[in-house]
Amino acid sequence: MDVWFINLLISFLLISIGHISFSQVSNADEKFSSFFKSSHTNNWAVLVCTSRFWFNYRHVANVLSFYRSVKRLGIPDSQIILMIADEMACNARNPRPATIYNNAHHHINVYGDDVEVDYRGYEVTVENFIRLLTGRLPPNTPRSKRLLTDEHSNILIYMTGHGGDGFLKFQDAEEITNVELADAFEQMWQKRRYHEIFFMIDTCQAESMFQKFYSPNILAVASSRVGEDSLSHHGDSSIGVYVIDRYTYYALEFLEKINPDSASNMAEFLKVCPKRVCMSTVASRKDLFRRDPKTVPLTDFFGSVRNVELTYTTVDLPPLSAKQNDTNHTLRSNKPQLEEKQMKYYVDQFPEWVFKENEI
Amino acid sequence: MSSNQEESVQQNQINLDDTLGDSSSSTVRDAGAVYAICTFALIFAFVGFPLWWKTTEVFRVPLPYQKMDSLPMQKVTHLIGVTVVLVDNSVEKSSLWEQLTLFNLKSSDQLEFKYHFNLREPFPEERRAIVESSNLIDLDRRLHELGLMKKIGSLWMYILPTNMFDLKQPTVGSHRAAYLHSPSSAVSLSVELMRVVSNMVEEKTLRKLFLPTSMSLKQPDKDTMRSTSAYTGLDVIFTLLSSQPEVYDIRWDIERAVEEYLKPFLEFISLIVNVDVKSQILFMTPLNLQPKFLNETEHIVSVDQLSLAFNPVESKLGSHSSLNPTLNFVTYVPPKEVFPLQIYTEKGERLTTNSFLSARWGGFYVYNIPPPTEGSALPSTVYLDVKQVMKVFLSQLKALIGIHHCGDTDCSGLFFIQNYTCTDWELDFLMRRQAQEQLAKALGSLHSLAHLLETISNIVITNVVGDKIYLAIDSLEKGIELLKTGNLEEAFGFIKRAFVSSEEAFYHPSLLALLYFPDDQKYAVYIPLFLPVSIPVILSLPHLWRFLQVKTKKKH
Repeated sequence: MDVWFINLLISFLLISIGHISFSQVSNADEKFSSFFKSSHTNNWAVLVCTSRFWFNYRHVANVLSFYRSVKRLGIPDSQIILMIADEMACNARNPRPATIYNNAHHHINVYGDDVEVDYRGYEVTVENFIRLLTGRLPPNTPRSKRLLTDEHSNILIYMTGHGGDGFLKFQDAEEITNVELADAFEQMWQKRRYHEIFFMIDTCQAESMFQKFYSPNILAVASSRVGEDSLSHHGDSSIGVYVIDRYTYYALEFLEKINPDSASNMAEFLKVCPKRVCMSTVASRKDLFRRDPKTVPLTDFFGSVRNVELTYTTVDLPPLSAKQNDTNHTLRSNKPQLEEKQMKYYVDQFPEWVFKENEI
Repeated sequence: MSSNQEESVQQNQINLDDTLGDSSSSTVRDAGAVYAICTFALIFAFVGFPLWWKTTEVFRVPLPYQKMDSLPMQKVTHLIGVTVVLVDNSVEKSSLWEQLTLFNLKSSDQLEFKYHFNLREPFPEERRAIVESSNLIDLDRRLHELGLMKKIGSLWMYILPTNMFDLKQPTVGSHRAAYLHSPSSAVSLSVELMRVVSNMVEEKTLRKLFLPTSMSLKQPDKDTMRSTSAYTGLDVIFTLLSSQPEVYDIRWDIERAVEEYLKPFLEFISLIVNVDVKSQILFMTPLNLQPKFLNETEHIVSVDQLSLAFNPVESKLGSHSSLNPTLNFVTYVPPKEVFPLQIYTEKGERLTTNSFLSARWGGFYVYNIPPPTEGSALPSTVYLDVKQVMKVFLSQLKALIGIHHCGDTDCSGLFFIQNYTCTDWELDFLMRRQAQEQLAKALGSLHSLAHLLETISNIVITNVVGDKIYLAIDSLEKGIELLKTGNLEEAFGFIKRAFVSSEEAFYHPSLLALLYFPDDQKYAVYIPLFLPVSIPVILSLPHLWRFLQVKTKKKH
């Protein structure tokens, strides 16, 4: 009896301590809002499809649809890392080459204009994904393949593919475990590579992937609980495969109604796809996230709303030195291009000078 | 008791014999089997096991974990030399000295600022300069030319007689000197002096930057969010967005503007950061900047529209080759339909500069060009006034790289002699700020690495990474030591090296060498390998035990 009472007391104390620290944070938030509107300065998205083979068409459609949505909501291509494990648009079995549809009605070709795939085909590996997250890439990696985030970046991570309890399969060859993923996030946190992460995963037993997370400021949502399968939404008889997964379908339906300046919050988004339409139970994890999802606008992760500061003063500059008149200068610099006709000649078939130099 | 045991041993021997299939020389064979068991077990224990242990060990160079853990808690002291030149003889030296030393109280903060005061009379050449110069700006220049104020990070305070140069308020010069006239008492003089000093050093801003250990909960503030932190190189890209090339043929002489206005500034700060400058013109790039209101003369965009304005062109702006942080400066010429496009503030006032900046991203300037008169030939050639453009962008660039005085400290009642590049003391501040930021980052990286090595067991530390870590720790210690002795420039060099090598160590690709070998799956790999060997060895151990017992009995 006594022990029970003490336990209760301790837990009560713990809860109240938690409350105190939480309220302090929100106070700081309020103070802060008077400066900039949000506490992050840039948004990034990492969209990953891990499946190969034609019958996994829907996973590519999933990820491309998300790509389209976040781009529409304002995240620029330079800040989206898109990983697609297989080339569905160019697959020999695709009856409509160079297109990928996420809907049997063929409304939108999600492989339309301006799709910039950063990691494709066999580049989509667990190693590359972890290297991307932790920033430990070889030095010659181009900027477009890097996640150049800082402590003020919000990152949206969307993953889709085939998974099981505690892992997500990459390419039919390997898998990433939930422990590896959690460790990668911890390394990102320790190096201050993110401000907040919104982690979405649409796969079977998806909940297991975020159970091992232990780093702060991560909000996670998964399409199914452990022991449940995530199902596809509908097939397209003209293509012959399923074209989209259920959870992604309903999430996209929700996102379609969102504009860059709309006021929807994350709590609404977490409720997307109830069990009666999804067939699986959508699970979310909020304990690592320090803010209340109800107060977090959706655009904190899905858009790219910048912090803007008006410039009130400028520096005084002396006039440009009067060596040349402005107009003359520009004209002169343009003229030679018009006047001088460059002599054109064929390149030597056997560049003799090369051999001559070698002989010397 | 003993007979029972005898029986069991015999039984056991029979069992063994059965397995050997020959009963005639049972004891000899028994001994042979036992020796075999012993050999197997010994090889297993003394060769196999250590070999397995050694070969599967996660390779880690021994690191000074304790130092990596304790360094971030170390006290960092900035020593700032302040030379007070008493031109005015009426000031009481001893009481001023007493007052000034009061400011150097020990603080409990991790970051400490110490001022090393030095009171002196002016040198003859200084006195000459003071007498000869006609006004304060002239004096500032002359004193600078004397070459006394060379040391980076130090300050010179000239206490001038009350009526000299019509000096009404304390004035901060464009080099490392400030000018004050002497108030009646030493106390008020020292207070005034310290106010000027702390304004030039910007203690408050620096304090906010230093949080290597308490990095988690701290909410960032405007200043730390605005400027790009800890960089070793920067890319600056000037972009002209010409949305209607069919109407305007826009020319801008950005090359000359960069040469004349930006280059002196960049050369000045090249001590701290190398900046790459590029420029480009983008045509046919509509922006998401539609005016919402219209008054008699202007098309108005409000502040809340600006935050989404440049997303559509973002991916076309940046450099794809360099990994340095990029600052974009965009000049936008709006289409003729919305001329003139004017930004209004939140309070509904007209923003005269018509420009804004976005934190860690760059600046944006709306340049209105009157539409060509009707019937004129299109496109009409327009020359942009690059001076106007540079005026805006230079001030924004300064803010974005972290020179933003009067940000946190109250500088009312102070007068600043400005020049359009950057004053010496601003440069000193930038260097101190960068030193501080890079120090904090390097300390943070080392601390996190030590912490991660503790929690995540399959991180490899190769010799290369180990060397980098040692170099970083070494340079950090030297840097901190040099800051303590007031040697900012040298300290910055060491800290920069520490920052670079700690970043390289943390982001080294080899840390992930054992990515596919996580702890939680090791046993799944090993058990199938070990079971075929270990089960017979372990099962035969009881036989060995019994055999030895029998032997010892026989001896007795």
